Amino acid sequence: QEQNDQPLALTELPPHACKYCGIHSPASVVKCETCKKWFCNSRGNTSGSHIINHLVRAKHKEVVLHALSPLGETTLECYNCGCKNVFLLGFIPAKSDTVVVLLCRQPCASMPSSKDMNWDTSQWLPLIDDRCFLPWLVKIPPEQEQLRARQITAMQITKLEDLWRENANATLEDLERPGADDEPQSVLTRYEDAYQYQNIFGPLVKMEADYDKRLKESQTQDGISVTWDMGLNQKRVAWFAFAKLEELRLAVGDELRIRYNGELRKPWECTGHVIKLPNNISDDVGLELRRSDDTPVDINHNFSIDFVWKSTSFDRMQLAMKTFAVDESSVSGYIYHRLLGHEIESQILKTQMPKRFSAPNLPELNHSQVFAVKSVLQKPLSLIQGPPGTGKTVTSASLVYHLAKMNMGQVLVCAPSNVAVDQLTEKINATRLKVVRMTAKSREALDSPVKALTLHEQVINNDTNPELQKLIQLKNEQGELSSSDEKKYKSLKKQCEREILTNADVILCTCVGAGDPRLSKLKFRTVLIDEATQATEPECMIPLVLGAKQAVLVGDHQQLGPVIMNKKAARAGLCQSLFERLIILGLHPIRLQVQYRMHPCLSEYPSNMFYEGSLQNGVTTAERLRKHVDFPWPVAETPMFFYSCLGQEEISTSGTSYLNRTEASNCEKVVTKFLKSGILPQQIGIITPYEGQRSYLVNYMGFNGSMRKELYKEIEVASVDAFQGREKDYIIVSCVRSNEHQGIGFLNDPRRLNVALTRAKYGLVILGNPKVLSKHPLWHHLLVHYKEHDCLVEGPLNNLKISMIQFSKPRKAYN
Amino acid sequence: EQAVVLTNHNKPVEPVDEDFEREYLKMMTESLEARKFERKHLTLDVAIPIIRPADRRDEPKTENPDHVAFTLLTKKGNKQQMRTVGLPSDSALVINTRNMREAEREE
Ligand SMILES: [Zn+2]
Ligand SMILES: [Zn+2]
Ligand SMILES: [Zn+2]
Repeated sequence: QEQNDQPLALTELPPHACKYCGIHSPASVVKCETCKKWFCNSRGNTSGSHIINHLVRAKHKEVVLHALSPLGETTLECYNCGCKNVFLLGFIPAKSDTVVVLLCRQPCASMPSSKDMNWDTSQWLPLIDDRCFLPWLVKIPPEQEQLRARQITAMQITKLEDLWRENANATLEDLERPGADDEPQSVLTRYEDAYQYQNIFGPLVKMEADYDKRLKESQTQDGISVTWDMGLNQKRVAWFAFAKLEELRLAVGDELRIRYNGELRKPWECTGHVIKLPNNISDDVGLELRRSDDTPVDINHNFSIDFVWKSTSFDRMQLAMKTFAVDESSVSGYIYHRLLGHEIESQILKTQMPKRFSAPNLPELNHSQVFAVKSVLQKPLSLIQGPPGTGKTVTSASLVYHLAKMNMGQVLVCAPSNVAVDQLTEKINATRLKVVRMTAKSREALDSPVKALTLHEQVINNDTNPELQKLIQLKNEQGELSSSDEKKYKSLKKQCEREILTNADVILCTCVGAGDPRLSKLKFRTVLIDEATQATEPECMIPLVLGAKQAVLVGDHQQLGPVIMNKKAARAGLCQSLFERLIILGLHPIRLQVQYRMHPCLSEYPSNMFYEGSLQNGVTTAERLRKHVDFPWPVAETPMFFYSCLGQEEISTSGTSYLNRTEASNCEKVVTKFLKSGILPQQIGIITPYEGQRSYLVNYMGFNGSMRKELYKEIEVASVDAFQGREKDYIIVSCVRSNEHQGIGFLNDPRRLNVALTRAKYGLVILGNPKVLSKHPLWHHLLVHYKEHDCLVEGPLNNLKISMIQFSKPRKAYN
Repeated sequence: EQAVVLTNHNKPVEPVDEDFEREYLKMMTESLEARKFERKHLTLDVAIPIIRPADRRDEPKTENPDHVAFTLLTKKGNKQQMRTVGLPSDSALVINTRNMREAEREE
């Protein structure tokens, strides 16, 4: 052998050596046709092989085998149509001979096979399996060779690929040069002053904004087919199917641009707001257009859709941080120093405590809720931790009631999401306080449970200003006002808004909404932020800098945190909430301890795993058992089980993420059994982490379920994130992932698991592959828990047997 | 009670790289998405060539007894080429093909 025991030096490697690790046996490497670099088919320490890592990260798709490999210099391409995209290629065998051929999945391998066809397209076998080329086509280098190759990490790969975008000839050595690594400064626990705070968070917010902009603006989709409709408000609505929803994180109120560039008319475009997202009833997005006059309603095909990115929320975060730094009255001195982590003596507010801590028209508070309200009222800064089902909203609403009654001045109540703000609005309104719900202008047209309480509705319904009333009526009838009337209308409306806002006891809006110019003249001494653990720090700052002297953050750091898209910003700490940092700084959260949601058997594991066993049950086993429900729970009093499904995951044909057919089929059976035993579709929720599985499941149940199709359609199937903050009577969790080399994807976050496990009131069924899941320490614990309760089962639903499956060894300790 | 074991002798496994995962999925998704509407005007028209023993001369040197020799059809320009590849005998494709041929023989 020419190789000796010397470590491989990069300079001596042949040109076809793997650019990551240096491996160079011709049978194990392929050349990327786009950039002409070579990569091997070993995984090293990463989850995909080096060539797949490169193709994915560089977005390259075509490869050539080495001339000295067993197949010789061969471009991998579809035999039928010549498509060279390896992510689409796979083998199919001949029906009667040991012959295989490469075909693309779409369209060649998915064409309906004629009867006399020689090929068996149903056996299409993807060229890339488990993030690696099929080993019999491109050899996996032997272990010996792998061990002496360069041990490159996923992080180094990422950086190297970044570097190649600027300089195609860069090497790993270039990574070590100073300046090449532009990781931003990480967040701190304590800050010298608000300028330092701004200097660290400012760039992180900018990075996230840039990323968000790039991501969303690059999502233009062509060839969209549109159905036209007219809304009740006489505005045009375009309905269309839109891919990449997961990535765009499209939300109601977002702005999209719709364009026509076809031959049937002259180019046309118009912007509009999203008014509906796909759900189990329809997969379409609804877009309400700004203008209705020249809409090409006679055309239905060939439209393009762009995302119109808005910097508003990021601008407001930046502005809040600046205000925090330069405006001394933005927050009280005490809060200023506490937020920055300075050591100062704690303060007790001199307040007249109420005699009763429960608020009018809200449920009686329990001992831990009363304790929370009591201690918060006396403190300028406090944290309330509300584990699932512990009555966080009622506690917050009761608290706000007392804050509003005790303090002079208005209370500002915020949360990162509109849903949470609406829920709070409803509860606080019940106490008869005067509330105003302020929404973004783009959401004004939307229906909401608290519509009558919104600022714009209160303006419309005001009876103090007849002239404004007249103009509103005129505007409704004519659609438009003369320019002088419009001017008058705007100024009267502004005045009316100000009146309503200043007369309110409580103003509610999202955290970002607190940066609305309509609030900029107001001061809020008291601020409560719900779901504070789901907001980034700069987001939380927006409501705080409106003059906070007393602030309450409510949340649960054991549930999902803020979503940060830019990995660098997330790594630098933007994903840590203010709530969490305050805990690190020694501020003790007051924990609500009685849960009223789950059957006690369902709260046991989350309580032990995430809340030091402190959760008490406010509901009894008897209250959470439904005797008349005929469902084969393995242990009658324990309505939960882990249903072992050993099927493989795959990439869904519909072109969206992962799916797992075995789990889908078992899920349908569980659902059907629930429905047959009299449970309503609205009582059931299905949690699955992937869009692919969601749409597959919805379709699968519709086609294969033995009950009426409509029943299945009414069942909510959504991601963990979509279920946070909500509950259902029965929950089915379909884990989907079951492959050897990759982790369990979105389910590897303990906080996400906690949320998934704590949504159900009466029963929980988890579908997953114990063999694969048990490799993860967290899931290992969960599986042991289910096994110990005789609730780990397998086999047909009508004859469930305790599963004797051996767990895998968990990979690393979880703590 | 089952203790959590730290396994150090294995290769270090890095934390799940969700970034890569997402991008990987995206590649798969977008590749398919892009060709969703390409089903028209295409027929699957691949004749199976007659394979003479001579074509199989580059048979793998039975280096791996777990593999079954298949002929892979490829194109070089417009010329059809046949190469031999060894497929793992326990792969679904091999097992199904074998079963199908046996069923045919029984008929
Ligand atoms: Zn390599
Ligand atoms: Zn490349
Ligand atoms: Zn093809």
